[in-house]
Amino acid sequence: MEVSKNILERCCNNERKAQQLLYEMYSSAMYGVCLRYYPNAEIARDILQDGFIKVFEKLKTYKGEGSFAGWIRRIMVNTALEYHRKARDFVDVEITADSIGDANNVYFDTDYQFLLKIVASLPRQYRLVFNLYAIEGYSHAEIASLLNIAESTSKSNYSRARAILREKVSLIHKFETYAVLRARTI
Amino acid sequence: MQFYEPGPYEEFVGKISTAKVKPPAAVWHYVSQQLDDIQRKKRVRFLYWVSAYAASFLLIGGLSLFFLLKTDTKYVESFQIAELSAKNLNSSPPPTVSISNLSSPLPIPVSDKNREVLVQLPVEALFAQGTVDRLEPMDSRLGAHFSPQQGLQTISKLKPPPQYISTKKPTRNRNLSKASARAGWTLALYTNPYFSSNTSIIMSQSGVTKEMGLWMWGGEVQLMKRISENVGLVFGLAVNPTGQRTLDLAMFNDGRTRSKDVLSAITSYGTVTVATPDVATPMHDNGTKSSPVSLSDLSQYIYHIEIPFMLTTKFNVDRVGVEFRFGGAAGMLVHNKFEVHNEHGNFVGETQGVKPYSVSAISAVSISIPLVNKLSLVVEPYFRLGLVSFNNQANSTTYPFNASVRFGLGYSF
Repeated sequence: MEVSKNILERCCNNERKAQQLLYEMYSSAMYGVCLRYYPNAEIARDILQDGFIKVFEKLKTYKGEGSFAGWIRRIMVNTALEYHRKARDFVDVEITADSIGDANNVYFDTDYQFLLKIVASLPRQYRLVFNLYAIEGYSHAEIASLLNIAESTSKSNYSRARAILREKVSLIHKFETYAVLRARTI
Repeated sequence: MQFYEPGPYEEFVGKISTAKVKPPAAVWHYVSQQLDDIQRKKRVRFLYWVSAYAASFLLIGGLSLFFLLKTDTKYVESFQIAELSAKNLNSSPPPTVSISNLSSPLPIPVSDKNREVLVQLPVEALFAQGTVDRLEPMDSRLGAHFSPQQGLQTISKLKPPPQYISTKKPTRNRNLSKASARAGWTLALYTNPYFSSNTSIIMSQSGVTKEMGLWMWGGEVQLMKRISENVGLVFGLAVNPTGQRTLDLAMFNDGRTRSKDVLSAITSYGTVTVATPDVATPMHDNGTKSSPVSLSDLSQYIYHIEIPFMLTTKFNVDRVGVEFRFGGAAGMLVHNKFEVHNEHGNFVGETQGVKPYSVSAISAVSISIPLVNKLSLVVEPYFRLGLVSFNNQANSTTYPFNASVRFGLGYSF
């Protein structure tokens, strides 16, 4: 789903309705990104809010090169990293249905809550490295400069994060397979 | 050929990277609010910059004109002694006045006797001072002796005298309006409609608000004391009008009194509250109104008595005087009224929470056209920006302004 040029132009002219339309188109995906970096609803909402303010402020600089979703996503990731640099993520991670969204949230997916819980179980820096490397596709050199760490640290962090996640995911997978088999035999 | 089969970890990464979660509705509300704040700040900053630039421009322009028009004749007069006598023509090297001394009067008092003194001046310097009108040897006898390096050689014996130096007393080439140039004081009276509005109205682009500007009458008695030919001080007493009109404000029925509508509006200037008296409004059979909302139009009128104080710089174009004025005004609230018009009738009251004082910046360009004797017609594009918000609320960032092309009568004495 790509946004039309007309909406972007109207957003540039500060038309609030067009801005709301753009927000509604991308907010769900971007909130997902924010929660992935900071699995705490309060912080994720702050990042989402600041991120969208930046999107509307910098919209005039978007030249139409590359996907618009990717452009917004980069802004959200950078905003999340700014939070990290300012060391504002001291709040304990807590993922519940209430903290993620409204009770009547049609998009809410218990699966996703579960997946987020797995990501949230990673130490903070592992989580950031995992997100940047495995999902955003940054290189270790780029991650090193973004997080102000050594490249080797980024590599080892990712390696450990992957090991932890693999272990947890395969355990879950085994349980799921066992549950399916058991259901069939019953 | 071996195919890569994603395991549970890869599935996990794929799922988590594409998942969507709808954020709470409040987030958009905050984003929208923050965008409004940013817009407002940007516009206020822009307005301040424009005001600052306009003020600087007026000040610099005024001062520049003042100094540009102020040509001191002393320097030119000192060169009058450069009318040289014929006896010095044959004398050996005459005393020279160096260029570095040109800016100070020559040490010789100007009198008929010492006009005999020979002064040798470079011609270029005289051109620069505007003393020499043109350079052409008027007399063939002079041609052989003349060179720019030699400088001026005015010979009184030569008939007619050479015209290298203008012997006329230099005059200021200005067409001043004599009445205004002479006058020390000027009294001016204005009474005009002003267009009044406030910064948040002009800044609002959301289309939600229907606040509008308002035309109101105001007036001023003004005295100007000229402290030099080009600079003056203006002060006086002004009735300054400020107001706004708000359309389609919703009046709500409180449900308890079926026929009573209540309007409570927080406007840029303060809070307006109106409760209509119980009136027989058409109801449906079940006793409920067809719509719980009726619309009202609100007009707010706020008047201050102010004392303006301005610095003015003047120049003349033919007989018309043009003045750049910049200054401020401070005053107190003297009249505060609102009018609400709706289906129930007209209601009048006072806007609550309006500050009892006002402080504002004023800039104007005053053009005075002489009429008869000492009277002149004054046409004045005028802009006044409030420096404090009228609303008593601490977080109010709305600044009232009014603008007009004022017409008035000036009397110089």
